[in-house]
Amino acid sequence: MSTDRDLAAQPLDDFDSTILDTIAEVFRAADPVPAGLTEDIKFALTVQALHAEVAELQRVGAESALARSEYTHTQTLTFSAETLSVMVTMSPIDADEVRVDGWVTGHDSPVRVEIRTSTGTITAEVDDDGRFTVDPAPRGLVRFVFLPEGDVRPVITPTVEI
Amino acid sequence: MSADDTVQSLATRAASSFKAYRDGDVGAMDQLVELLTPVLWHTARAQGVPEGVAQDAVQTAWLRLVENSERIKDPQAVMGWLIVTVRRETWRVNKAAGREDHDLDENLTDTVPDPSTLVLRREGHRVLWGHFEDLPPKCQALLRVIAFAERPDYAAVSEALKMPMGSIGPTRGRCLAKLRTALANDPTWEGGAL
Repeated sequence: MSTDRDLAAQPLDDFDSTILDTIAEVFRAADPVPAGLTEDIKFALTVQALHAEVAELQRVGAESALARSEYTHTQTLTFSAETLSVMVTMSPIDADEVRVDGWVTGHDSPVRVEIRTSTGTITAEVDDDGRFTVDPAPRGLVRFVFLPEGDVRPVITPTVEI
Repeated sequence: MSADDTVQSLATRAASSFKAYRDGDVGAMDQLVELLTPVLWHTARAQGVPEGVAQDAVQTAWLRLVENSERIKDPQAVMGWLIVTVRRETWRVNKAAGREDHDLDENLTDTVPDPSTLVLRREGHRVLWGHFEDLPPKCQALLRVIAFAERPDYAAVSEALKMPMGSIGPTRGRCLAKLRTALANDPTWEGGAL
């Protein structure tokens, strides 16, 4: 049909933009990107980049760390991996910040800890007894990364809420 | 999609994050994921696959990007590369999941929005949607993906979806032309009342 062909060869105009905006609006409402997909992708990419082992979340003390909550109590998370185990305790400071105390066991050589937040990375050193502290740390979704010295795979935790 | 021609294309913004990532800025990859995941999600879903397949395909495409990042010579091409990869991965994951090996674009029933969605309660939107659904499946898929990019991306997205525009400049193309003709011929369409 020649009308179609003529129309097809014209440059896009504002009405085309309106049509496409409407199509986007409908699909955004009817078939949104699943919640958590971008976080899952970022996590998978970090694991891949670090060649890391993903630690298993063993135990959640106090309240569930996987639910966004305005918790006011200390909470403890335990992670385990092949090379090391970690216990992390979060003590609330205020609405925005927490103090993080961790204890790394099962690994002898020095370990560096990273807390990867949505806004950046906080680094801490683990002492000879396996302890580390980050005070303050911003509340929100984070991943802990443990980087042992030497030729040992790093360990990364799933995303948790602190 | 913006009406403003000066708007920076998605491909260009993606190129700058990708370049920063390759130059050693690890956080730039997170920006790239935020920027392009919507268009990639709709690229996968436009092929008529279930959500789980689309999620796998999109995630796998990102992993492939990191594995192959050195091979992408022109950062401007990264968006198109990802769209092509998502299409391929969607097909592969879908096949592995044991679904029938058919032309995926022909099977859109799984992802068609319900007309009761909020957006479609407006008359103009409903009329538009009726005509959109009458388009050939490949046109629906193309317009759906393009809708999540910017106007200057039109040609690159068409190319990545193997439906090249065949001319220079961001012309309207066959699919939008069909839709506009259908609207023009519809007496219930009151002209631009979106």
